[in-house]
Amino acid sequence: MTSDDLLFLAKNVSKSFGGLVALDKVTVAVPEGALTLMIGPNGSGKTTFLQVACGVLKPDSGALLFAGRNVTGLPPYARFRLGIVTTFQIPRLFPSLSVLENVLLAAQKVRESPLSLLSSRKGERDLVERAFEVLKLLSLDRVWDKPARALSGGQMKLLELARALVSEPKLLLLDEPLAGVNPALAGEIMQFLSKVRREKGVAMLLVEHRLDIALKHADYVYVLHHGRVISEGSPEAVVEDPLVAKAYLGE
Amino acid sequence: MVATSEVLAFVVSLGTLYSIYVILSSSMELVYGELGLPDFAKAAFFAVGAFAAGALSVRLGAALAGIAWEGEFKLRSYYYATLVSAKVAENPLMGLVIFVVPLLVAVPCAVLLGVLASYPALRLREDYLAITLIAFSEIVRVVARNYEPLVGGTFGAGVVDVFAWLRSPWRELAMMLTSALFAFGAWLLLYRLSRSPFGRVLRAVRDDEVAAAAYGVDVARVRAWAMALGSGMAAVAGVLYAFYIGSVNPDDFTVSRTFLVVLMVTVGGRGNPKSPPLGAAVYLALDRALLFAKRFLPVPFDVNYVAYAALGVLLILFVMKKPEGLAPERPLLTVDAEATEGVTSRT
Ligand SMILES: Nc1ncnc2c1ncn2[C@@H]1O[C@H](COP(=O)(O)OP(=O)(O)OP(=O)(O)O)[C@@H](O)[C@H]1O
Ligand SMILES: [Mg+2]
Repeated sequence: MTSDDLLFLAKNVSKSFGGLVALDKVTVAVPEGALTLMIGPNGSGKTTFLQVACGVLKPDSGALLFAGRNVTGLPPYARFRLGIVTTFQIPRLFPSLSVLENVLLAAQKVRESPLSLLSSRKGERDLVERAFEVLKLLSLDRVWDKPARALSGGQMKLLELARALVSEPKLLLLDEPLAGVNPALAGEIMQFLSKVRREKGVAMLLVEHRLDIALKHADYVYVLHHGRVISEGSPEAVVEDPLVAKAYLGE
Repeated sequence: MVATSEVLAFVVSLGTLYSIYVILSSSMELVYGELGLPDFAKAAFFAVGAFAAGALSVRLGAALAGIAWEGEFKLRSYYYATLVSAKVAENPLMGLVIFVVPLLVAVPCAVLLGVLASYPALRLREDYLAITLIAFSEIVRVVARNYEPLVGGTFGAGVVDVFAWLRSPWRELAMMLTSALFAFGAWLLLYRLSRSPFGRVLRAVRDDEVAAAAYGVDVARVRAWAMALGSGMAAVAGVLYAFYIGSVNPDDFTVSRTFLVVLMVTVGGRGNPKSPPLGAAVYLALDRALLFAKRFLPVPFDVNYVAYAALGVLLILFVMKKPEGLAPERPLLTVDAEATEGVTSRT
């Protein structure tokens, strides 16, 4: 791996909550177009890392580079506009907006000026078309006009994913997108994510507990434990690592 | 015939007040209902409009009519207001200028203040923000109350009758139609914004600020825009109000006026752009009914308190029993139904 095809690099990132060290000098690299998997026992800091990467949380120290640019100081909306898009482990939807509107928000280009009043109907229709493609894929098209708060837990997770996919990311940060989704659909979603990566070259950093489904799609794996990277490498190498087994068995 | 003209005067007066309240509650619905920012400084932005009319109409009129000013503003503004109105009676164009200039001054001032007031919103939690905005509102009122050159302090200020060139029922009717026109404009703006992609952004920020920011929304700018629009609208209402009442008094712009507007939006249905015309109608109907009933209430205290208490009870009842209001919020649809049908039918 040369440094040219590196899309995202987190260097020595640390983050504490009061006395609790959630991330301790974590260094993670995501190459262009790769699917990087991040695993680790509960509370090991995976979610914290993704939130630091997308800008929702500020790191105490360390640097974040995206496409050769230092993004450490950028607010979340600016990182989104560069192409860093995240999903939330516990869904954070817009509960009073309909399913379709949730997706449209992520797809729309005009965001905070009332001048969007003048934006063309045509533009909105194109967005609707795109939104429905994604909704259909995640079998959410039947509930498109329901407010997001009326969805089941599994559907909420899918809507999280739909929202992220429609925003045309360059780097997709996925926080346990398969949790609570039935195995058949989970497999399909994983297939689809792989396809998006292949066809559109979207790089992904995936946090997932369901290794049975996720592992075979991964190019590279990081293992976090107590806020530290304890192992990294190819999927085969990592599962063989005795340190990893020890972390999971809690010794 | 006396009865008819009295009824007409009552209706026209009510129509003007209704229009003014529709503008105010439209601005509250935009900022509070759609964006979820508790704009409890509404009375101050309303006051900016009224103060502009109070401070400028007589001075400008006197200058235009070539009347030399003598004496202190607070003592003489009513007198000169009468003199200038007499001049306007012969010169409608002067009336127009005296009406438009305060608008042109008030709206940019209110927009600027609104943008400034949107900044604490970034750091403060909703309840602290509400308290900060209430304090801001009171500061505006207290400054006007004590700085007499502005609108005469506690004396208040006289305001020119810009429709003096019309005769009696027509004069009031012109005031009502002007107000109604502005009210319709303000409400239409709210409605269009609410049903546009911008409305979607407002509700997204209201629903989950963090998620909105993670999905590309610059929350600070959205708030600044909404406060700019909402405050500008309130200032228009204030200018109209000053010309309608014919005088301006700082103590007319207390926080309780803000709460009347909150009441209208809550009763009408927060988050639904239909709430302003609906809530303002309910409030005015109730207010007039109480005004009428008060005469027959033998209470050992100021009967006005009965009205305050009744409105307070109404607000509490709605918040507890029917928080969604008379017209509950509906998920919005920014594209026409056929556009979505076209896509859904293919699924
Ligand atoms: N906002 C917060 N305030 C305080 N502590 C927090 C906060 N967020 C996370 N933590 C703590 O930081 C540690 C790491 O949490 P994090 O959510 O990143 O773990 P995780 O690896 O995502 O776990 P899981 O697999 O259960 O999702 C945990 O001990 C957690 O309790
Ligand atoms: Mg987690």
